Amino acid sequence: MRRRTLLAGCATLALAGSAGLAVLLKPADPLQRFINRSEALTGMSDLDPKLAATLMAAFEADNQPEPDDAALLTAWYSGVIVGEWPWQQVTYRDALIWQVLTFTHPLGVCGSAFGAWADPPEA
Amino acid sequence: MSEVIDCDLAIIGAGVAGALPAVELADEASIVFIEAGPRIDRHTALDLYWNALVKTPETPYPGAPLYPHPIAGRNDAWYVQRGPEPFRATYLRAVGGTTWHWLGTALRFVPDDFRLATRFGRGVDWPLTYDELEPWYSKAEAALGVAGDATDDLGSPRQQPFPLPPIPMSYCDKVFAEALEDYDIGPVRPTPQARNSIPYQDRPVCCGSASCIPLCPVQAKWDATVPLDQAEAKGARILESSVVVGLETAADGRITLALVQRSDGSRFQVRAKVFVLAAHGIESPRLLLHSASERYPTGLANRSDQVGRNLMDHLINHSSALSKDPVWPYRGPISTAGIERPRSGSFRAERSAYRIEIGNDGWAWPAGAFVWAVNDTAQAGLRDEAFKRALYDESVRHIRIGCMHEQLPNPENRIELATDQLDHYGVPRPAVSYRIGDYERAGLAASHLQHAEIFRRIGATDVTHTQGYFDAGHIMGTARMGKDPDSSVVDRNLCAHDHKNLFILGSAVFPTSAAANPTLTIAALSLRAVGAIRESLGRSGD
Repeated sequence: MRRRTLLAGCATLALAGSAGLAVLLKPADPLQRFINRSEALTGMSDLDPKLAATLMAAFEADNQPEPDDAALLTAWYSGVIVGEWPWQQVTYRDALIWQVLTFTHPLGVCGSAFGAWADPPEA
Repeated sequence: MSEVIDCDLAIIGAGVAGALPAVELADEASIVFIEAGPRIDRHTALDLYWNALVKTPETPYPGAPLYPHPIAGRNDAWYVQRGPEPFRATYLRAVGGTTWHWLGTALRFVPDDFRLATRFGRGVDWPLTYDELEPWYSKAEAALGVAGDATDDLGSPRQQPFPLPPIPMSYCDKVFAEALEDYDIGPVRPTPQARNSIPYQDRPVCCGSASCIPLCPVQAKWDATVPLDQAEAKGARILESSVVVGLETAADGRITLALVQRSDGSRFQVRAKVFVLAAHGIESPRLLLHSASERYPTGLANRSDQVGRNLMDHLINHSSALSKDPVWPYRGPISTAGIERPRSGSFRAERSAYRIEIGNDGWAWPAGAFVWAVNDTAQAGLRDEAFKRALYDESVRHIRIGCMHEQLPNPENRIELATDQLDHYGVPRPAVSYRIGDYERAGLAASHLQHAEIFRRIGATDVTHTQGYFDAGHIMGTARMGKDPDSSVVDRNLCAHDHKNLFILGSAVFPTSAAANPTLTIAALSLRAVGAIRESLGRSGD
């Protein structure tokens, strides 16, 4: 537990500079395992390793070192760690839901040209 | 001896009600705003909104404990609830006031709203008519930059066009409009709103952020910082984070001094010829009651014993459902259309009037952010493409309608001082007694049936009606205007019957609530009061 938390912390630090990336992404690395599992679950192939490290650390901090599939999916799509209340919002604008709901955008971000809402979204 | 600031006009509360007159008077009078709350930085507010799990209207504006205000979902956060029902309406203490998180709906009241007693035997009449207020509605629409379609006056006759062309109805609105064409509740119409459809007042057009409540990222939605900036440019001063803890009077009843305390405990005084109290429906009566003295043992402006009484809000019931075909919500302003005809009719002898609002915000309210939809879909065992498909297919069909009901004035619904519970400044917190009556319950029952029929006609499924009612956050009535000093607090010019240099502005002066959002009427009344305030400034040397 302690070791994993440390690793996650290191991952976040290391990723602040690109030099750490190659070292971090070895398959045996916990972060890479986290990413591999996340990509299999979400059906996405280009998950952001920085966000992955943040989510992984947040799960660790929430005493969920091995989150179940639903919790992991929810974290990626909504940016929220579902566990003990209050749930923790880790990201909002980078949640994958916005890539799924292609007709809209993170609320609070400018969404469209004026009046575009009057018609169905362009396909 | 604490510092004394002298001015012609002291305005307590830097929100819509006080800001508009300041723009009119700043060239001819020295003006000082005394605002309890801080200035808000829009970018900081946006970050707070994005980063919060539960996004309420107050999320971007964390005032407590230095600038305490009510918080949605936490009924005891500020109010001392005396029941029998909780009072849940919230407001902000900040430079710009609650217009930071208003929706922007800028409806006029209809003529019968001003004569409820005469027409329907309910409540009281206002001491002025719609026709008298009409020119001021036009000025208010220009000040707020209201976008609207004048081809339908929505029951409020108008002499002038809207200053801005209408905000287009959403695709979702048009689906409702078509499905309800043969339903005799009245047409679906674009809502007049203080939101830019063209550049106006150096502000850009709406960019469809779908976040009007709790804030607009680009200020396409008008808020009271617009006139505050104009007033400051003309020389008005804004003293923020400064709480007025008492008002002092002279033997002739004039207000002489505002006693002010900063959050660090330091104190100062503001001396003015004329005082405007524009601190909204809770803080204005609270200050009047707290300013009791030997001369005025029940508080200022309170000969009638009406200060703090007749507290009203609009009662909302929301219904949500899935539309038959995609409507693609979560785009554009949170609401762009409504049905206005139910706002008046002979039924008002028996039950509340209401307006029907069509939402573009899907299930974002009251269910909150998308996390619940995501979590439910994940828990259901869907993965990969099926997961994405399910989320998309359902979200494009999220619809919501809400009805906003009038509430009759009841003297037992009131704000008092909770003298055993003091705030950071040593002032008693507001104690609230509140209930709704049979009139409102009958209105809620009628709109509930109407919601069901609307959803039936558009072929919606998975219908959910909220139980009971929600607050609209439209605080009204606690310093009512009237002709008779024995039954009202201010006269038709919003001057306190008991203090000739004290004006009370804001929805606190509304004798009845009507069934339309209050801000445009607040603005019109404030602009109408400018003449009387100016006269009072001129008389002050007498």
